[in-house]
Amino acid sequence: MSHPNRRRFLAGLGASLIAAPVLATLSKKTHAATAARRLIVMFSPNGTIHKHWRPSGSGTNFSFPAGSILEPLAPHKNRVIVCDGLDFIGAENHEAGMAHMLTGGGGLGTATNGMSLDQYVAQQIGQSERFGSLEFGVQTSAWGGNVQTRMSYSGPGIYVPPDDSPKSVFTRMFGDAVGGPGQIDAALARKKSILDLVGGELTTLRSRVGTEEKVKLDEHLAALQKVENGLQGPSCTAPAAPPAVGTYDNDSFPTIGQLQMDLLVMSLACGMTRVASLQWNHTVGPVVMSWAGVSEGHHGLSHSDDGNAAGVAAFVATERWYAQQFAYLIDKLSTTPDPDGGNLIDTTVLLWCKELGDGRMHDCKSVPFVLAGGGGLATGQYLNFGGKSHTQLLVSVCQALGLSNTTFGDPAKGSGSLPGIFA
Amino acid sequence: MRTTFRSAKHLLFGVALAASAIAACSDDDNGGKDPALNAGCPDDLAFFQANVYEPLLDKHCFLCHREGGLAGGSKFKLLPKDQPGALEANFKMVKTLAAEEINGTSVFLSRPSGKHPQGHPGGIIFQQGSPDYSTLSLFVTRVTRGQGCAAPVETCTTVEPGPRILRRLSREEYDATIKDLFGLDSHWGRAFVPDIVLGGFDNNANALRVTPLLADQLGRAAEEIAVEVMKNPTAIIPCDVAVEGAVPCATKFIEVVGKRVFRRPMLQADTDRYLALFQKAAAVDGFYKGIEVVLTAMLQSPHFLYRAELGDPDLAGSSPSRVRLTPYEVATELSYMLWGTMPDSELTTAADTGNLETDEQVEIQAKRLLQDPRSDAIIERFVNSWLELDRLDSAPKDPVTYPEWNEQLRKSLRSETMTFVKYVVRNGEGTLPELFDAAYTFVNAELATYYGVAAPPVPAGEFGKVDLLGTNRAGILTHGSVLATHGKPAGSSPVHRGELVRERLLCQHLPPPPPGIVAQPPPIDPTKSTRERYSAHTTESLCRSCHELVDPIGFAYEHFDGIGRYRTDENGLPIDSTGEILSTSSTNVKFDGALELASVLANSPDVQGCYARQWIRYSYGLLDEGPLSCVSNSVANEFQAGNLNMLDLLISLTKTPHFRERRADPFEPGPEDPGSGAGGAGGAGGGGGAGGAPGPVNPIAYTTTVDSDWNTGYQATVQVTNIGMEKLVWSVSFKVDGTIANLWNATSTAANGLTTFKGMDWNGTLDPGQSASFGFVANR
Repeated sequence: MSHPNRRRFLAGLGASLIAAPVLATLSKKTHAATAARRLIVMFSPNGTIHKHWRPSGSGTNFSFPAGSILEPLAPHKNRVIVCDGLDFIGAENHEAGMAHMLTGGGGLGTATNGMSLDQYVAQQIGQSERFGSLEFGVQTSAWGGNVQTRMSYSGPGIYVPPDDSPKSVFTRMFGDAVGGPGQIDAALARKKSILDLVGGELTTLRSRVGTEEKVKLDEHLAALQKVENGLQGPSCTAPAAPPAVGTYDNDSFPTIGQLQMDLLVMSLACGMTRVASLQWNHTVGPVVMSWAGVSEGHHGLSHSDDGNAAGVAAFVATERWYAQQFAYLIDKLSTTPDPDGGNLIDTTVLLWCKELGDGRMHDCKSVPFVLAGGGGLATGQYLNFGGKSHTQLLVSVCQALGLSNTTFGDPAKGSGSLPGIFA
Repeated sequence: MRTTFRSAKHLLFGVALAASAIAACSDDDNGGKDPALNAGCPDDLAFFQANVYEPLLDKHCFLCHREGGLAGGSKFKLLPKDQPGALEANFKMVKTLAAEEINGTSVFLSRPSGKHPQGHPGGIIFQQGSPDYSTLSLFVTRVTRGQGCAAPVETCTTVEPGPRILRRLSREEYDATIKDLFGLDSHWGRAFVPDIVLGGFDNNANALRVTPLLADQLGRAAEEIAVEVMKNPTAIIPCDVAVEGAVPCATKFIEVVGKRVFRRPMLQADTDRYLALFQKAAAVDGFYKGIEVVLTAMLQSPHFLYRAELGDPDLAGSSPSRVRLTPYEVATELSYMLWGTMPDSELTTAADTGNLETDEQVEIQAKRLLQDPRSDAIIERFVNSWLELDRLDSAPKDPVTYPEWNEQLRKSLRSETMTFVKYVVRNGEGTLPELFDAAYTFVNAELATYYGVAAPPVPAGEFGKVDLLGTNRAGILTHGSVLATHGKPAGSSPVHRGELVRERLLCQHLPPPPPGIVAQPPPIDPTKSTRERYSAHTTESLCRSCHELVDPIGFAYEHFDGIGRYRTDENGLPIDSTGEILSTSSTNVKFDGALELASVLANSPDVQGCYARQWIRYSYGLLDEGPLSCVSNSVANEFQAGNLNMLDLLISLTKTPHFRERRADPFEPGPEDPGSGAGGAGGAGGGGGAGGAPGPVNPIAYTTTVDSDWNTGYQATVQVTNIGMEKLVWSVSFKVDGTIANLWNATSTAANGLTTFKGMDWNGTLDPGQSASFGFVANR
């Protein structure tokens, strides 16, 4: 059950277009019979207000109170695990929360080498696919790239940026599928010759520069390697191209989100990738959800004190909107066939994550997570982990995907998967 | 062996304690000849002032680590610079912290780098491996071990250039370059994934990386551009293939077009490489497809995508530690710095003919470029990033509160600011103060209504100059574009407007709010003015410690609503626009309203110096600190002391040692560990890659940082990480340049030219993922 091409992983130093030695961490892996084959990570920003987020009841005996944030998930109650009581150990606030959320801190030399969950999983199970991973964004980058606007890391401090443009994503997914089979093959061969030439130039240039610039060129080489991996013919018929929308028009937010979610599911259904992330806005994100009847920016609302009933109600409305989007993804996966049989929901793990606990407190305690999908997860539960490290959740996700790492990020924060999370 | 070194370690620790004890009594810790008492260096105080206190602690730590500041209760509390005796008292306090160790690391290093067991709640500022961390580390070594005394006190008597770098074209530079190369209206660059913002600008050389997503986008753009260009092949191919033949004509194309794309003449190897690519493609698909493939490749080449500022080792620099940039690199630097695009033919000819060799020749070209209106583009881009006006379009506004807020209005506001800036630079005094206090602006009929001034006598839609004397506005900070960008969706924002002044005009970075306190912005309350609603920020001490630095500046703009319109009152409530600037070097004053604040800022040396530093960041694509701190000081001082002319500042940037030279690469301890192959030695700031491949025996990665190099010696810090799956006892071997004079947190043995380092009892064994570090001073 191992993936033949996972050895294509590129080490940062001495990287070239030739396969580099494999990392020790790429070894050992167990594939449970129930292991999921795909991962979706969805992020929405600015924490929560716990009393409006928490289900009532506990364990398998729980429900979503009327008007609560998670109520839109009610039709999928048996497909989700609501994870309460998970802390980011040693991280607080917007920036550190964003950086820790998917990496668990730590860095080079930890089991996951500073990678975020999506990138680590992609490295383990996604390397034989056309795209190791795909990163979908909805208005993530109006402020440029920085620790507030990035959640995916391919190594310590190295961001993997999301693509905010459905048109650009569409072109990446289907742009090579132009013409008949002969034309497509010829075009791919030309692209490969070009990449070989450029890779050679980078390697030569590398020998002329200092240490820091070598790192830069190594990243460039690794990026070209990924482009080269993606040079494959079409695996699906292209749908209609997405309509032009203003990438950063506030009111286009829901339209862009819808287009991105549809492309995301299609990328999984077509076998283009096994790992996809969807990032809505970013921490401190200011989107004004006028379509949800709200007139203040999301970040501002996230700081509404309990005495500010109107502010709290507006924030709950925005959070319910995000819950609807997560529900839409579950819906879509439940009705989209897996090329290998069944529906995608049975072979995919979904994780909805946030970067803060109570946004008003700027802390990362009881950060709200919702899991869904297959991989042997004991879905249909509301679990409170009483202050355990969220890195154990990251480990659990890895194990649901058949990986065997027992820590994620900084090993000092915790190890092993979470109790009660697997059937 | 281990026992011996452990004793040595204890001895050293004892020395450190003795040194601080003496310092506390006499202020003189260098008198004795006994090495055990002579722990410090003679010029520690000067070193502290020039290398540690002024550039780092006062700049990055003081805002919180001061009386009344957020970290005013910590042991590390700095006195304000202008208080008598502050330097000496701060020195003494820091020296005590330097000698305090936990797990073998000074708390003066572990706290700011986030390695302290209790972390650094206010944020991590100096990452291990960074030049600033190295400076702190050297300071600790000097005051606690008496080593590294030969390291120079950086008084900036010699202003050294920065490192050799590669600068990837920014998205805007990409589009401008494609336009100049092919005459296409390029939209590709602006659709690329946005780049990382460092120091407020998205053109920092260290942040301009090529991610997999960007590589894909660059590839697709190259293909589309090549197809566009080849729609009219005669415009780009400098020969007739029917007359000259395929290979000679392709060769000519590669040489002629390649020189423009690469911004330097093609070397024979370049031409050969592209000709081979041409022949491969042309053999299948013919001549024109072959040319198209060549063009597609060139547009993905690192020689196109990166502006090289590497220099040529064959061109002697003005000292052995420097290399000179090639004439083509200088031409490229000038052109992108002043025009934001590739060199024109005149600049290229100057490089071809050896006319970019002297300061005077460079100045002639710089002046020519600046006098050309094409330099407007650069000034616009600078202002947009500096004042964050590139966020104007995405600044959310509530349509119920501000129904008139629309794209047309935003467009007018942008035009106003750009017209104004151009006028100040080209037709006004051209000085920075004028930018802040000019009593005029430019409006069209729409903005005249918006501002409540008489419409200028110009055709509809055009902008005319209007006098602002007697109104409530002056200068760029009262422009609607600035006030709206830094306003809230449904109201003004003292916090955001104050923060703009504090961070972008005074160059003082503010920490984020601390966790654990309710951080609710005061809810809208029609019975209270905005200022009253924000009063909690000054009554709660935890809030006040930071907000006193911000809100009282932002109150100056309370007469302007969330989209920048003037209001005499706030829904009937009176407006108090008095305020105060605290905790700066030379701008601690009170004022009443935006006009007085404009005048304060216009005449503030802090603001003037900061403005020059912002241009350094933008022009050189590097931060104004670390390797460039002396260059930056020199430029900022010259600007403050000079005529404050904004274009002259740009000329002065072409005259620094950094403009035409670079530091030769520093010593890099090589990865000569015979056991671990490519095993992970990096130089300064390493660790950016995806990780070294472990050898079969010893899965250890190590990075070596040269903290300071003073020619006759240097100090290095080595960080060792277990990248394997099992617990292990580490050792690393490499060739050490010179002789080790002092070693801490490790033992060493030398054989066959290699020095092998092993850990001590407390750091010799590493769990998977765990790191240890050791350091040494070596003499050459």
